[in-house]
Amino acid sequence: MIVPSEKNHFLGHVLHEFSDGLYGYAMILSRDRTEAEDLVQETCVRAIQAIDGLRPGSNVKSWLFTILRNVWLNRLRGRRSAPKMVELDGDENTAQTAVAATKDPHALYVSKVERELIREAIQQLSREFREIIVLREYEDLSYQEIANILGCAAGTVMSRLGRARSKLRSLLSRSLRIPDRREKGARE
Amino acid sequence: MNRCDEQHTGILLYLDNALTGQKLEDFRAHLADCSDCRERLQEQPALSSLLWETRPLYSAPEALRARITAAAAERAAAVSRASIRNHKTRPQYLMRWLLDLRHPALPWKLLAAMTLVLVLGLVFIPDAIQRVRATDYVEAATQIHRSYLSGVLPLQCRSRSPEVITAWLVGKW
Repeated sequence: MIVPSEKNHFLGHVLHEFSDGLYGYAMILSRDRTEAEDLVQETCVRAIQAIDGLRPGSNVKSWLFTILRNVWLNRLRGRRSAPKMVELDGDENTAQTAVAATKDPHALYVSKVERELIREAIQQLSREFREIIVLREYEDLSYQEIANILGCAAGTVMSRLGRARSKLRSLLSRSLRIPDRREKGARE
Repeated sequence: MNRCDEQHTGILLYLDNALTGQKLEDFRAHLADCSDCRERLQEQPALSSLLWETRPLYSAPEALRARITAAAAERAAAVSRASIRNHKTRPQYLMRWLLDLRHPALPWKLLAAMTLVLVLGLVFIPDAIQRVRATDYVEAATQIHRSYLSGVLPLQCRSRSPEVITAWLVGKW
């Protein structure tokens, strides 16, 4: 059994480990750096307050992402307006520099450019598609975990993910090495 | 929505090795007939590996990480302090407060006087209580006797029969 102080140490470790993922999800939802930081911080505060109620064996990662989504939805309801669209250009603060220590400078540059292009492509997707791409492809959550976070059926998650991937592929085909089936078909 | 659009789910499950039995057979049969879905299936790993290579999509700013770590550490410390406090029983906590050698809560002379009063109290208080109880008993008995002499207290039983008197006494036990 985890005693309260151990739970809090554990939560501190988990929050640190998932800070990139939570921030990424917050960016995908809000499309705004300042708001994303606020969302993550409020998520942490709520998680810290609620840690005593967390049952042993619970999926902490999924729990944190659910809290973040609820915080965002509450803010959205409170604001009673659509989220503000903010231009997302490159920023050294958010650009990942610690991709892989083993990569050479050219590989790092290519990786950074690719990441920028992928971010742009993902941000062009609808909110539903953005969420599902990030939760599945970047956070490795299972279909059921995503279904729990989004409050829908696992089947819905899978069909939505399939459509989101198709759309993303289509967007990336213009800038990256991903071939687009539709364009290829049109050429033929 | 055509038949191939419905295969999005099938392709994902197939790649996750989550298709079994008849569903797997049906999907394989569809793939054999459908070049579009075969292409889709082949394209998936390329997209997945590209996304994988660009992890994480965003990195939390250092200032945010620091705030998170500080908030968690502060909470852990607060819970730890509360836990230590709760684990001490009240007498232990009181004694520790009274006898803390580095920072005694009370001066030694006052502490000695309090101890002496406590000891004397423990010795004399039981005796005093006993004397009070004896006095009360004598006063109560005298009061009842006076009531009897003045005729205020009627006899509860009047009889010459030993059985009647015995029955009355038994009722008193």
